[in-house]
Amino acid sequence: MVAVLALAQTSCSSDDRVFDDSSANRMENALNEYKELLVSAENGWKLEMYSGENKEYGGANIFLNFKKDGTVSIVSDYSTGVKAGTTLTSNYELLKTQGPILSFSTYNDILHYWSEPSSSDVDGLEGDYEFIVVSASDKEFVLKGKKRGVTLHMHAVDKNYDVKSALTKMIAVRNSCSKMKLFEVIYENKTLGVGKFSGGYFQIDDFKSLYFATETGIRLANPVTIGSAQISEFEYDSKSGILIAKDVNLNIKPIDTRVPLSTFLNGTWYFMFDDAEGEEYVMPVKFAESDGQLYMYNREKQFELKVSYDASTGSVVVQPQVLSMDESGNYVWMLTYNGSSIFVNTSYGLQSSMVNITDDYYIFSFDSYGTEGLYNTFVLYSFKSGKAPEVSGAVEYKDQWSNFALVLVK
Amino acid sequence: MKRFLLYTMIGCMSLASVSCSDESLDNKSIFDTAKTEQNDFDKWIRNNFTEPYNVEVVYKLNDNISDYDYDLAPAEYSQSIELAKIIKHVWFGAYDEVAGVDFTRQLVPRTIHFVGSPAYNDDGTMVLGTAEGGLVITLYMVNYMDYFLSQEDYMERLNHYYFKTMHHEFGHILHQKKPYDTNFQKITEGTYVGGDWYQYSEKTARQLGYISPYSRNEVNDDFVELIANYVTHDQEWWDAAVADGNSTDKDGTTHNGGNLLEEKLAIVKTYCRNSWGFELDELRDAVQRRSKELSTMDLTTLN
Repeated sequence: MVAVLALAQTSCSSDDRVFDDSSANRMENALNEYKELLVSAENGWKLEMYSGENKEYGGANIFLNFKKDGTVSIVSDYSTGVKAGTTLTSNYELLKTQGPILSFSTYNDILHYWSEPSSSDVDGLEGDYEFIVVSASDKEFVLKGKKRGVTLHMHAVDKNYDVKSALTKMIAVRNSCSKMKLFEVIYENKTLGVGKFSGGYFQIDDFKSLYFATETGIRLANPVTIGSAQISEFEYDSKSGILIAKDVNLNIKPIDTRVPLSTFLNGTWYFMFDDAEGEEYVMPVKFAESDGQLYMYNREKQFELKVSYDASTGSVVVQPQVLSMDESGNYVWMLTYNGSSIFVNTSYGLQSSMVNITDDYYIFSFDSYGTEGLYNTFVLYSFKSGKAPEVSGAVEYKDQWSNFALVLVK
Repeated sequence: MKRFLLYTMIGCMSLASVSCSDESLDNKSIFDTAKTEQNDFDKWIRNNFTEPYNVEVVYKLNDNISDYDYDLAPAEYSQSIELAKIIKHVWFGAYDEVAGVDFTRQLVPRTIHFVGSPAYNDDGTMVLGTAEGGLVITLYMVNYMDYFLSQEDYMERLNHYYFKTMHHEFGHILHQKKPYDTNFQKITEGTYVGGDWYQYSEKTARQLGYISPYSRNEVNDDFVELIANYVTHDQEWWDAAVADGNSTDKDGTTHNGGNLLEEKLAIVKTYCRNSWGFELDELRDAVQRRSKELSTMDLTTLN
C-alpha cells in the first residue's frame, strides 16, 4: 500500500517523467517524422523484398518514391503481373495501430504480387503490405511485416544513383539467370557439379538460396559454402554468360541444354508420368517422324503421343490432342491445366526442359508452353468431338497425368 | 486477498487523480483521428457518402476491419472509384428514389469496406461478401471490376458478386428494426437445413419454396434472400423461378414450391409497404433501370 501510494505520488511530479509527452502525441510525432523521412529522400528508397514466414520467396529489388499526397510510385526488376521496369502508382498510409504502421493500402501489382491470393494458392506468396516501423532514419527503414513478421530493410537511394540505368542492368542479369537453366560449377578449374536457377532460386545439390540482381551480377540471400569459401557475390560477364565469384576462383558456367533433333530420333529414351491415383509409369520410348509429324511411342505402340520439335530451344513440345476413343464412342482429349482452369486451347502445351545431369543420364521435366503458369499436368476429358474441343462439349472426366519427365541415357 | 488489493488500488487511483487535478486532460485522442491529406477520391467519398448518408467507404485496405484469417490484396484505386460510383447509383440511389434519403441513411451499413482480391477459403472456394451486425459490409474482388464491366452480362456478375450481398444485408437491417409477419416462417417450416444448405441444388430449393439454396439456412436468410434476389432480377426471371418451383420431376413427382414462393413474396411486399412505406416492385424497377444505366455512365470521373 505504501509503495503504491508512493508511485501514485511520483506520477504527479511532472519533472520525473520518463517521456516528456503523452503516448498519443509521441505516436503522432513519430508518424509525422516517418512521413517526412519517406518523402524527403530525393531519389526514393530501395526495398529488398522477401515474403513467406521463413523468407521462402523474394529476390525483388523494389524502388519506391513516396509523395506527400499519399501516393507512392513503385518499380521493380522482377516481373510480376506487369513487366519488370514498369512503374505503377498507388497509395500508402502511416497508421497508428499496433505501433506505427506503414501500409501500402491500395493495390499495386508490383508490391501486392507478393501477397495476392488465388483459388489454387489461397495464401499466395505470403507477403506483407502492412509493416510495423521498427526503426527509421534518413538512411534506412527497418520494417516488420504485421501478419507474417518478416523483417525487411528499405534503404534510401543515394541522390547520385541512376535508378533507371541500374534497373536496366538488374533486369538484364535477372533475365540471363532465369534463362540459364543448368550450369556447371567450376572451382579452381575443376568441374564440381551441376546447379540451376529455378523458380527464383539459385540451387546446387541440396543448397538453395534466393538471389537478388545487382548492377554487376547477383547476390545470394544466403551464402553458399564451397570448399572453405563462403560465397554470396557473383559478377556477370555478359559476353561469356559466366558468373564469376568474388574473391574465389569459382565460375558458374551455363550449360547448353538444347538437344538436337537427331538425339531425340537416335537416343535411348525413357518417358514417365503419374496418373490421378498416383501410380507411376516408366516406359522406354522412341521418337520417330511420319508424314512430317513427330511421335513419341513405347515399344508396343499402345502408348503414343504427337509431339513437335522446337529447334530454337532444342526441346519437344506436347500439346492437347485426342488420345483415343472411349467405350461410349467419345474422344478422349488431353488438356492443359494451370491449377484452377483446364484449357481447351490447342496452342498451349508443355515443353521439355533439361533439369539435371547425372553420371549416366540427362533428365528433363516439362514447363508451360504458349502461355505462363501451366502445371506439368494434362487433364483427360472425353468430348463428343475430335476437332478442337469446346469447353461446353465436355462429357466426362477421365484421368489426370502429371509430372511428365524424359530421361536420356548418356 | 485479491479483493483487498483491488480496493487499495482503487483508493490509490482516486488519490492519484485528486492529487493530479491541476493537470488538464491531453486533447489528443489515442485513436486514429489524424487526417491524412485527402485525395480527390477521399473528397468525393466525403461529399457523396459521408455527408449525405453518414457512411464511410474504406477503399484503403484496413486489416483491422477485414478478416485476418484470409490472405487478401487491397483494392486498386481506379476500380474502387468505379465500384463506389456504382453503389451510389444502383444501391443508394434506388433506395433514395423509392423511399427517400432519410430511409437510406437510416438503414445502410455505416462502413462499406473494399477488398481487391477474393477471400479464399482453404478449399479454394470464395466468400462473396461479409457483414457484421449491419454496421460494416465488406465487398471483395474489387480488382475484377474492369473485367466484369467489360463483359456483356456485366449486370449478372455485379449482382452475383456485389448487389445480392448489399440487398441481403439491407434486408437483415430491415427485419432487425421491425419484425415481419410470423406467418412467413410457417410457410416452409421443417425444410430449413441450417449449415447444410450448400449441399442442395437451386432446383431442389425452388421446388421446396425457396428462392436460393442459401435461403434454407434459416428463416431470416430466407426472408432477405427473397428481397435480394427479387430486386436484382426482372419479372421474367421471377416467373421462371416460380415455374421451376412448380415443376414436375421425370418420375412424375409434382412440386408446389412456386406457389409457396408467391405466398412468401406476398408477405415480403406487405411488410415493405406497411412497415417501411415503400413498394418492393418500385424498388425492383428502380434497381433494374439504374443497373441498365450503368452501361452509359461515366464511372471513372469523380464529379
